[in-house]
Amino acid sequence: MLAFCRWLEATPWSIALHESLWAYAIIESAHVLSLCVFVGIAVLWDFRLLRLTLRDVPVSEFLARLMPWMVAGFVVMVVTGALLFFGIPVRSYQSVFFRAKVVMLILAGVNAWVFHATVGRRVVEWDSAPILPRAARVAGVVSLCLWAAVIFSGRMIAYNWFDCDTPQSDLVRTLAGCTDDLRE
Amino acid sequence: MLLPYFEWCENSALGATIRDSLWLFPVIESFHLVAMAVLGGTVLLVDMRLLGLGLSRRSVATLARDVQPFFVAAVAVMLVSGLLLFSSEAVKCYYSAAFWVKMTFLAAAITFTYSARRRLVGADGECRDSLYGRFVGLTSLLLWFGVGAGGRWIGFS
Amino acid sequence: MRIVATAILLGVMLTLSVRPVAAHHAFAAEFDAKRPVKLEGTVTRVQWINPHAWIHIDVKQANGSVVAWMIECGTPNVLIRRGINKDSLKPGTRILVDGFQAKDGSNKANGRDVTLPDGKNFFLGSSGTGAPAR
Repeated sequence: MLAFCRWLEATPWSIALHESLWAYAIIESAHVLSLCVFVGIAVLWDFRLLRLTLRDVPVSEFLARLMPWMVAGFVVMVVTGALLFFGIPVRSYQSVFFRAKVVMLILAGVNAWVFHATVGRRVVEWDSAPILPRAARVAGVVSLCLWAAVIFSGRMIAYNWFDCDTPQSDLVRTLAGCTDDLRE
Repeated sequence: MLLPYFEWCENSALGATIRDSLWLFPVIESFHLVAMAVLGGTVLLVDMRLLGLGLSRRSVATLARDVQPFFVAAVAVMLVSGLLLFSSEAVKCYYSAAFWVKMTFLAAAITFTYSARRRLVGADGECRDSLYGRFVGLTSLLLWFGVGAGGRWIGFS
Repeated sequence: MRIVATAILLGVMLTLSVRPVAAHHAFAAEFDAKRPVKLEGTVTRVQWINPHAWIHIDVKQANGSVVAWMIECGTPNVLIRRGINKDSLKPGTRILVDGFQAKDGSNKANGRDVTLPDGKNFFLGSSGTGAPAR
């Protein structure tokens, strides 16, 4: 994987991106601002599952009307995020925060999948119910925590406290996958 | 003109504490971002409705009323965390064009939200799909977008 | 009316913007304004990358040993606007760097300015918090 990241970093497009004058900054801004679309609506969705807001809106209506926007926001986040990784592959791959973020993203995905595969399938049964099924509420809380954690770890990637190019403890070196060959 | 005030902020105990800490700034920054997502969601939901998108079967007034507490909470968290971040690097902000652009957009967005937009979404009348409704929704979105983009750019240029 | 006023204010603000400064992330989370350093050394490598360019230099100590330092700069965009480009700092060039050392005590510094052999001085664009304006 590290070898792949090093190969990626040497490709002309990756070089163009990390040496770029504007592209990198614009992609990063798009990545951050699309938080509002994807996480913003996802948070309201979780709040709806907890009946904290929009109680008059049936869950299925919320999903039908806003899912396309969430998907659109998510696609922008993934594409811009992938581009940011493509621009700086090695350092990202060896960043403990990046690794934590990927784990959280996978967990958030699993949580969403579990919801839609189980309690979400029977949404017509509790669409406007005064008390939502426990599983739905749990999914809401878990989702809120995970997306907040994704934002935190994402923000921390910019900071280089735990980078492999400075002396680190064995624990950090293991977590970050630091190697001894300083190829560069 | 404002520089002495900015310098005072930067030299305050609060600013110095955040500056001297390894973790405080990034952690406050993350809170700022989480609140931004919530703020963005609440603004989007209502503005999209004004543009006839999203939850377009619901009345604007109901949507606006329902998300209002979260909007206010998000703005509060953003202002507090924003002030904390600012106090640690006020002088840098003074010389940053992006910072002033952001503040201008912020003032405009808040003024707009609490004047024209509030009058529109507060009245539970038929602003459904009216041209004026769309104009207000679009303006609000653009103003908040300016705040976000300006904020991100403080870190760049 | 309000929009016109906003536009005017915006114009004024933009004109007022004096000197651009840059930091991808907070200076203070990584560097210490109380640890100014002056480093004279030989460029070994330049990483011309977003969000920060890095200059690697070998600094000769009084006792003859050589210590490698990494100097964090602004974005490539900022550096180019200041007059430095990818080829300004070829390996082997002797430079003098003014900056601030990392809080963790490692040999990393946030560069404030660089002086080239011909005496030319460039702002490195990392004037974050605590790195006082010149």
